[in-house]
Amino acid sequence: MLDLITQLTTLSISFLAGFIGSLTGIGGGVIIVPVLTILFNLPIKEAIAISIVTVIATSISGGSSYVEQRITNIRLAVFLETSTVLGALIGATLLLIVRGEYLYIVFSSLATYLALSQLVSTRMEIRKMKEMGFSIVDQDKISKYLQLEGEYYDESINKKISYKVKNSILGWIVSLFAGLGSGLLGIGGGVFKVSVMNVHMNIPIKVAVATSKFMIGVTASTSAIIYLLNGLLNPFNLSYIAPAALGTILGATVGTRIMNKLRIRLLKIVFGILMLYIAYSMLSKGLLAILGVKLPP
Amino acid sequence: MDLNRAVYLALIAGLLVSSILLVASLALGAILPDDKLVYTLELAGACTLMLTPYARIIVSMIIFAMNGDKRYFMLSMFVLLMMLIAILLGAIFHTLPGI
Repeated sequence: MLDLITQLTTLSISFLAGFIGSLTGIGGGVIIVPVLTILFNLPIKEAIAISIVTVIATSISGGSSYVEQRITNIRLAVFLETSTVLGALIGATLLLIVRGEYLYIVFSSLATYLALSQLVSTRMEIRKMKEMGFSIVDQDKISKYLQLEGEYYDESINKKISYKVKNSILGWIVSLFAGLGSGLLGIGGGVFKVSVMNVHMNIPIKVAVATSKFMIGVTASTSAIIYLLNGLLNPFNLSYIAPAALGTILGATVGTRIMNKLRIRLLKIVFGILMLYIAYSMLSKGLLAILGVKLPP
Repeated sequence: MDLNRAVYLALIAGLLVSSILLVASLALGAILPDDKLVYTLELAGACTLMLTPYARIIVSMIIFAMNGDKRYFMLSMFVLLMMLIAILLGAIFHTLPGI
């Protein structure tokens, strides 16, 4: 059993991870894993196992709220889940025969590109929101066939935003890579899904965040069950799960209440900066694994 | 039935049950720190969280079937199947994603 200070620290950090995760559509493992390893000296494998349970918690908590607010596009989520779970399955199988460190560099480059695209497209997205530009694109055949289009009510501008979906194949492929990354490297892939939906598929950022939040529970729960079956969740580290999961649930609950009220500009800038940080962190891991070069934290 | 409503109810049910179990484990842990029941409650809470996304997929499959939406019924079934295969492979080969 953990002492009260450890429980409260875990709860607070997890609250922050749940809050940021609900605003950006990511799982929050990027915040929780370093804290558990650095602050509490937990082995990295156990920290990832605990973190993945909190990712499910934040996905369910944030995801349910966005579904209730009708921001999440469930059809789009199901469509992209087909590739992300397939990718996770291939990634987990490949783990037996290949080493994944070079992938850090690939994912870092992709994250940098998508972060910059996010930041550059801020002005265009605001204009599209004003001029209903999200609904006047040509849908590709798959998007039409699967009826991926949707609408939501944006509370920051008090307006219903309708949107159509394009580049569904590109979205499917990037989701496959996001799943591959989650299987091979343990990264959630939420950042990639949000970016490709928003920048390439013509999905408004808030819908992309809500849909990603909804989706990440699927890959996270599969990984978590595998960790459990392999004994990585034991009586000692399970005591971290209650404060960590409750913290992320509370954080996500607060975050989802304010996300739809936030200005698009702020949301996209926060997301872009977070993504640049993730790109740097992956580059750092990759360089350490391949060349032994250590970048400053 | 409305898909959004059904999925929301599935998620919120999983969230409530797991939160109750985890809060109970913390409360009991404060009184009886090393009791076996604390560990059982923690494990039950974690497992409820892990199974909720599966429940959500099954619920959406049922709703798609009820609404006669064959395309999405098949897509959801594919997702569920992949998740189950991943668990099976994980159990057989001790594959540890991300490690």
